[in-house]
Amino acid sequence: MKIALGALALAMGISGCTSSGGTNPVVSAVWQTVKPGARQAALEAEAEAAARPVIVVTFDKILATGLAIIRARVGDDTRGVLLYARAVNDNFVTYASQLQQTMTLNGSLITASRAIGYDMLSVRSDENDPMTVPTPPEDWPNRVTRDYRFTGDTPGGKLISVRCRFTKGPEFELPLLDKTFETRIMQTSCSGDGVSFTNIHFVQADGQVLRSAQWLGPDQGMVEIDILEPYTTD
Amino acid sequence: MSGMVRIIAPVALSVGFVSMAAAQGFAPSFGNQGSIGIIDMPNAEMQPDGETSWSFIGNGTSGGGVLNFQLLPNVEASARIITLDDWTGLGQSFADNTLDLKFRLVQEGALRPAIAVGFRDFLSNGPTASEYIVASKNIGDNLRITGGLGWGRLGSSNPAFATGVRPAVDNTLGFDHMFAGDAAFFGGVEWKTPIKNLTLKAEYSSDAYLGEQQFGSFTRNSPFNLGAEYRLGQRISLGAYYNYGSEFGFRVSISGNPHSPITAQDLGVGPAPVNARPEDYSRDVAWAASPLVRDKMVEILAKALAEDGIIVQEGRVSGTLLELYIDNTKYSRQPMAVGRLARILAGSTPPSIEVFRITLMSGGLPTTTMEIKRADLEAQVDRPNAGPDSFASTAFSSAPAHIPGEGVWVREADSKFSWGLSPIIPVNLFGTGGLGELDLLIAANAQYRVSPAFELNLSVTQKILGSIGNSAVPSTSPIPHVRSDAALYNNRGPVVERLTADYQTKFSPSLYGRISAGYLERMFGGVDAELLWKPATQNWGLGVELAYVKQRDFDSLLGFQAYEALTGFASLYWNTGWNDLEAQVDVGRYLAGDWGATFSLSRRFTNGWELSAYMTLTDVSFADFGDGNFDKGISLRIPFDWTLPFESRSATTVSFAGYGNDGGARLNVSNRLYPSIRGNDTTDLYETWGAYWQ
Repeated sequence: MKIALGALALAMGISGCTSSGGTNPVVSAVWQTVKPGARQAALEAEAEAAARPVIVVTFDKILATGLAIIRARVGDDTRGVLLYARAVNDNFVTYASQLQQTMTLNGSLITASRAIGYDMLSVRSDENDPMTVPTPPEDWPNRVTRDYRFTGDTPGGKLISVRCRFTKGPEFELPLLDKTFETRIMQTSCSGDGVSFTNIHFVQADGQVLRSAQWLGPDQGMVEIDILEPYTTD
Repeated sequence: MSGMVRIIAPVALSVGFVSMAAAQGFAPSFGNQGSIGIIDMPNAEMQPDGETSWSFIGNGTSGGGVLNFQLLPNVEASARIITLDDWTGLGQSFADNTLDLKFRLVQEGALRPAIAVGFRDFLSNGPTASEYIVASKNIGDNLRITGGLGWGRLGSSNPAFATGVRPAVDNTLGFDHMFAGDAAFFGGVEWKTPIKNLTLKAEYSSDAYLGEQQFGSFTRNSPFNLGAEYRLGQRISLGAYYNYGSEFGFRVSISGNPHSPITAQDLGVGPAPVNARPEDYSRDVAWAASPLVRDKMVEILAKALAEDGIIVQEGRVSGTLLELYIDNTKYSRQPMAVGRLARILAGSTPPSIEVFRITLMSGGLPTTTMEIKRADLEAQVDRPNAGPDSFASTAFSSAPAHIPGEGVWVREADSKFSWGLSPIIPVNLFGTGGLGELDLLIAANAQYRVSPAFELNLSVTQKILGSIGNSAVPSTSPIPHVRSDAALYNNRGPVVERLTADYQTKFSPSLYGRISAGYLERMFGGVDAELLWKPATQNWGLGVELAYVKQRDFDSLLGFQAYEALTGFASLYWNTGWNDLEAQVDVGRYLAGDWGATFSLSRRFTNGWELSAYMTLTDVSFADFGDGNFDKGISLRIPFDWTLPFESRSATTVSFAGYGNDGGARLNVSNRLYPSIRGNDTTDLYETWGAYWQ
């Protein structure tokens, strides 16, 4: 048994070594997880991250950057990640995090995501979709159609077409960063092609969406975004 | 936590698939046979497309392993490697390797049952050969009933009628036995219990187990079998059975599905955002007048792209055109590498460059050139329908051997010599009743690159642990022992697996060539030459291969034995473009001098999963071939990035191939042309183009 374990350790130890100096990334990843002390190191890193002081983001700081900025929360993340506008193509603005995870928004509607788990390729929606053009809550249409595309076995990927209904909810005082905003809760209920989901939006009187929980696909589920500084052509 | 988050959380929980909520019945499960069914009897259920499972099974009369694969949405396949106890005499077992197929003819409806037709030991009149028609109906969400009619083994107990005369079991290929002879009814019920993940089963079996009772002590006391299945999560299931009124059985199954990766597949770093050039962008090309500037630009690009796993082998830039020959060493889907490269180029090259001409290389050979207009890229990025639009606007063509013309920047190898160490774990699932034999080897590989087309390769292995071949018996094959002396090659090592000089080139944009000389594989050395005609925009190709080889000494070092052979094949390759299916036919002369053909079929998913099956029929008689009658096998390739949260082009392959058969044996050449270039033609690129914008 000792010989067997020794042989296995030897194999693991030298496995993936190459003349270029690197190791096989798969072997490296496995080794980093199972090597002695790896668990302790991971716990210490977690504790260190938790103890790190939280940088307080304020609207003044946001404005000072001169950039369009959104904040996104996925899964159990409560702090969120800031994404900065990096590309503008027609009405589509792509925001990127420091790690270059990206989200593309058409107005306030998330139309693409990259590198946050399961990519959403694109979204097409009707021209009167109030998520793409700021629309006061009382003027939101009854329904629109949207086409969501995800990765699949053709250039077009997997298409999911849904019909979405809008429902006006109560007014809500939304605390966001260091301010509070008067908003109205709007609900979008979509279904079609075997899926159903409900998005929630906090909308100002002029139609500007400040906070939103939106569906990013059957695998990714929901993401929450705060539009801290919307993109404008100014 | 803010009030907002509290409001949103329940909303998120309400998201789901309507179709899942509306699904009728419950998930299908395995029987004691390792394929979808009740216990020993089949049902008409199917698994999700692509679902793949490996089962260890055992009962009082047999045991072994079963690879089960949902080949197409309505076709289930099982490769079974079973040892039948006391089959040819008391204490004398029989190794039975079979292929089972089941076709669903009718899907279950609100009132109608699902109906399927199936074949056990397909095409072969072996000991387990049987055919059946079966119907299954879910009643509510927790109960499923099945009834069917079987022939062969499944028609051997209490037959209701007969359709002609069934030939005696003789292990031969053919159709005569199918649906012939006695036919008997079978049926059963499956109940999904209130206990989570537990399903109970009962069946009436139409298998009389006549062969099992002939020599051994086994007795079939009852036609009724009972069973229970318990699922441990999504990927492991356990089965326990009480069969025939006299025996207990078990099953352990491990499952995976190419469409359901273990980890999220799109984590890490996203593609570079692209901004379109302003309308009044500079069209000045004066910067391109200097060769020094042009070369430096390509060199800087090459250095930057290497950080992202894209190796530029050749490049040339002019005022309006940028051409690159690239090796993608990182991204599992080629369009993802091309798309990310195009984005980087759009953001980093002078605005006067209008066209990016990108050529994919594979195994040192340029394959397909894609011409992407920068204006198209800018008009498509981030927009809906960008995937189909970008595929339609990209021009595909077969690539010449090099970028034609003058002023081409060519990458200088970092070092002409390279080496690597890696573990190899060969698995052999034949010969031990499916329970498997493992080896652990260390492989040392070295390469000296004389030129981009000409390499010297060395591969040496040292066995650390393992038992493959230990149970092999000395060959008594009446034909040349080209493989059947495998046990004699199974020494402790070190072993020179390969020591070759390899030259490969392109004679024209669609014609590839390769010649290898030296110690080609563990058992043979010599000269092997190959030509492949495969236009990039065509879904089929033709190849010819010719080799003159001598058999190596059993120590697999430098000596040769007396046996020599001229072997060669003409090959047809066809990527059907339908359900990821690819077909290949090789016709020619095999190592033992036998003439025949190998038929291969594989399903290669866009994420790299691949299941391949082949059968070889030659003029070696079934009797001379030995166990199994003819050579056949299955292999399963699973990409590592299906299980890991980052991009990788590495994969692991498990083969269920014949071991030590002389008939239908081919050279094991590791650098054949078609496998190395097949992922780059337009059929493949079409199927994976969804990744272009990822």
